Amino acid sequence: MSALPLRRSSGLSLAWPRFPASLLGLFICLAGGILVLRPLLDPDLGWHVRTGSLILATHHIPTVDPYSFTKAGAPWVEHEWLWQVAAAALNALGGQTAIVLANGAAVSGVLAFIYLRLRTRRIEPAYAAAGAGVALANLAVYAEARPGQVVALFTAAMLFGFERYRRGGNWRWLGVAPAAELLWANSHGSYVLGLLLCGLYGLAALWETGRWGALAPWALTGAAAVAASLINPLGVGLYRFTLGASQLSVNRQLVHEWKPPDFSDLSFAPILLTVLLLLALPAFLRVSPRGRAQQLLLVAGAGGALQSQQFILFFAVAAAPLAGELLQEAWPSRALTRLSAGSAVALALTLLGLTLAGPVTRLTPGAYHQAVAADYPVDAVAFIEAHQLAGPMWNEVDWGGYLIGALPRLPVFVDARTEMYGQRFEAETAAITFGTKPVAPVLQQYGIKLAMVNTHGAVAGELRALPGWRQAYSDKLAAVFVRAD
Amino acid sequence: MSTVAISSPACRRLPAIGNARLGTWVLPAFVAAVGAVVSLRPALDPDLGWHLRAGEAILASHQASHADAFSYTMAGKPWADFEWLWEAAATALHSTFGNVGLVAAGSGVTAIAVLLVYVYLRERRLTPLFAGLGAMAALLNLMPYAAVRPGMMGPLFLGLDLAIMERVRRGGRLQWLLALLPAQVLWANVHGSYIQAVLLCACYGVGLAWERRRWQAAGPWAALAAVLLTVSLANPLGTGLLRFTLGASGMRWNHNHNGEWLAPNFHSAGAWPLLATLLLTVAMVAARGRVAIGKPEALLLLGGTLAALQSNQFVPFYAVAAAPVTAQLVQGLIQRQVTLNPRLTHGLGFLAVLGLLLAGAVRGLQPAAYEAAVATEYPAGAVAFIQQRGLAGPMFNDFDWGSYLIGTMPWLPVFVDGRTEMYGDAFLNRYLRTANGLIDPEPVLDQYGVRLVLIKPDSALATTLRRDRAWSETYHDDVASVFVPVGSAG
Repeated sequence: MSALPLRRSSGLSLAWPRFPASLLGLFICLAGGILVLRPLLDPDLGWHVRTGSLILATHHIPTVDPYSFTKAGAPWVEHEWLWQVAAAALNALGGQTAIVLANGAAVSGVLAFIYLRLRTRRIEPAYAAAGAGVALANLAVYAEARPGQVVALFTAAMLFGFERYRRGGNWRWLGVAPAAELLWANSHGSYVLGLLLCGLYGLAALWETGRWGALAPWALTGAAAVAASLINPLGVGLYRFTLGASQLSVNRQLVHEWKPPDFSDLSFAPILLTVLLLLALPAFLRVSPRGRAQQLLLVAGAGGALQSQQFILFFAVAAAPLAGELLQEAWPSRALTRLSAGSAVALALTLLGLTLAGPVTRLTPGAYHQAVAADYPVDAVAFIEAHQLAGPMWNEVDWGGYLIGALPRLPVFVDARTEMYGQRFEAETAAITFGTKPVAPVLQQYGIKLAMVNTHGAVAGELRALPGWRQAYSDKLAAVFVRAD
Repeated sequence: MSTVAISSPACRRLPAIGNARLGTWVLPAFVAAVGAVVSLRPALDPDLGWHLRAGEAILASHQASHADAFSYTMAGKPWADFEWLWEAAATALHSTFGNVGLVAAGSGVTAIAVLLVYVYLRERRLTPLFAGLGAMAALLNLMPYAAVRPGMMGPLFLGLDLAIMERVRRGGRLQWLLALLPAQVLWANVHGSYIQAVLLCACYGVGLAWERRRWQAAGPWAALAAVLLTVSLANPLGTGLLRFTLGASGMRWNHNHNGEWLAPNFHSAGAWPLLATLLLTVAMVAARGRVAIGKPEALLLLGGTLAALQSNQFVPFYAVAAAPVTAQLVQGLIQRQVTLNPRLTHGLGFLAVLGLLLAGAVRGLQPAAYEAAVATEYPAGAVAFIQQRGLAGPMFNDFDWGSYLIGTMPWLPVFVDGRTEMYGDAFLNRYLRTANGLIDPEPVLDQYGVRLVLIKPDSALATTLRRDRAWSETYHDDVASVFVPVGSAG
């Protein structure tokens, strides 16, 4: 902290404190953490937490389906066990609030890694904060508490380690990659992105130097990362499973996060604007990212994010922060080096405002319940429990994960574990949900006695007209039907 | 036995023939020919049916339609037929040469559009090789949209406008701009994309003012935009055309459900050229090198990218105005003169490529193949069944087939078709909820006295009607199902 003399007419000399611009980095990290403190609405959270609890209780990772009656006992590959255990432990410790807080801390950590990576690349604090801010704009919308969130954390950690190595040549920084890969492979199927990062940096080193020898550290790091990823309950089988899941066409057609972003939807505006910004800065100001690795990250990140929402977090961490670098290259002398006391107060007030408008308002029990009830059949579940209705139960696929968590007494018909249910089963269930196939034969086949469906969906329409069924409950979101006998 | 001297003058000339230069016209001719040949495919645009019927009415009455004559749900309601000129021309062609005439004309439009992109890039001082590559990038992006439809006139006029504007920007005579006026009048009478000419003026005006740091530099372009907008009013709707254009773009149904208006889906092969061009552009601007494009081009690149990512409707704009910028970026990155002086061997290679493409196109245009292509997309079998049985309406039909039915069963008015602006959000939403099984279909079918339903066999409505004892499925194939009330003549 430095002080500048301020002259007053009285002749008295006052010193107003001035703060380093790195305060902006801290501000972005805290703001990011606060912005994602919101109710947990991920559709898969129910079965993730239940599985984590199961693992903690039995010290064993389930290998067969314990949640549905349609696939009960069928083989099930649980490859996200580590995240689930952590989530269940947090849930046991402090309920969903603990998971929300941990997610906020993770997002802050991601932004800290991004800021430090940019600083390692000799980006001025203000521009590094700007880069982290652009990353935050992309992260804020998609950083839900779910296993896929680890993409952001491990990508950020690996890129930070890689840049430290490139700057100082200390090979220990490359050790971040196998360490991250070990955790990543046991938390989410996106662990292959870690190997891609090793490949990109290796390719960049070869491109920049023209020497095959430059590839060696990255090849060794990649090999160590592959070896680390094999330390998982499935061993090599994890790679087979990941490849199989990526080839399931039903995932690309039906699973929201596998679809490409729809840029006519405002929720994707941050990605669209970031892509345009990363095009506009070089096109108008004739600047480009320094180093082949950054250029490759930009192309890989943009390509991934345009192809699938799954890669938005990767884009946010790997490519979006380059905006800060480009801004510095365009205006190298305009970086803020010190912040006035007024600016520091404004930042603190903004954090306070974000806290009051965000978590303080959104995480109250009433608001939390309301947010969950807007997406999930909370009241319908209460009705079923109050009347102790019995299954087997037909349910909408989007609610399967929630019901596994909220209604553990009743096994579900289907949920979002597409790899376990298989392409054909999921496609047929979707056809019934969309009304292109009748539900009646399936009700007959599985002896279904209870159905929880979207009030305005095609299945509800069919059940209302189907002899032998009556609607026992309905609200704006869900309707409960029971077989008359 | 005598021997023939191998080193005769005729033999010595052979290598010289092989090396003969073919001139600067070969590359653009090749690009245009590729554009023409790859566009030779069956006319399957979902709106072609009503366009041709509207054209017939115009040719017969010598005036554009102002009220709906094709549906029974909107019969007599106001309808703005703003593409009347294209429809009249297409109908005249169709009545003389049949579908082949339409396909050939559509292929010619694509070829000219691509050629104009080449001319535009040459005006921008790109070498013939890179101008050819830029034109190919445009063609690649146009291909998913290159069909017999009014929308393809947009790329053609856009290419023309860009070539002329670039010539004037590079010091060409201002009189060239006069050529834009008749082009704009034609554009405003063939397709709603005429408004893009004003956007081009904006990009040039703002870009040049920024480049020269003088706002006065934007003056001529603002004046040009005003003149173009004024001459656009020379159409049957007058200022109503502007209102109509803005109104159509504000329709929620179009944005939510109309495939042409939706954002590109990069899992679909049709959007891959756009994805590939976008990524190539990102790679080019990211690469350290001389990314030397002017401000107008940068604005076209950004505007085109933004628009194309937002809606499929703007991919043709991106194809002509933004995708070719990639060729300039590549040329700037290579930083050395790369030219191609086509020789006879190149020419033979080009001819071989064209021959192969043409063979594929001609095979696809054989009558049997043409009919098979139509029958894959449209309910040709169901229409034949309805005609054979003499089934009567009112008919409830699938949205995607409305125009086809207007063309093939002119005696049976449709329930709905692709003229979304005429039907409006409320009607279309009700139709969609009925077709998707989200509401009970009976009130809708009763309200319009529907006696015949022609829908996709795997639609939710088909599932609903199959279990409804009041309806009987009298026909179905892989494409369509026909339902009639139980006990009716069907």
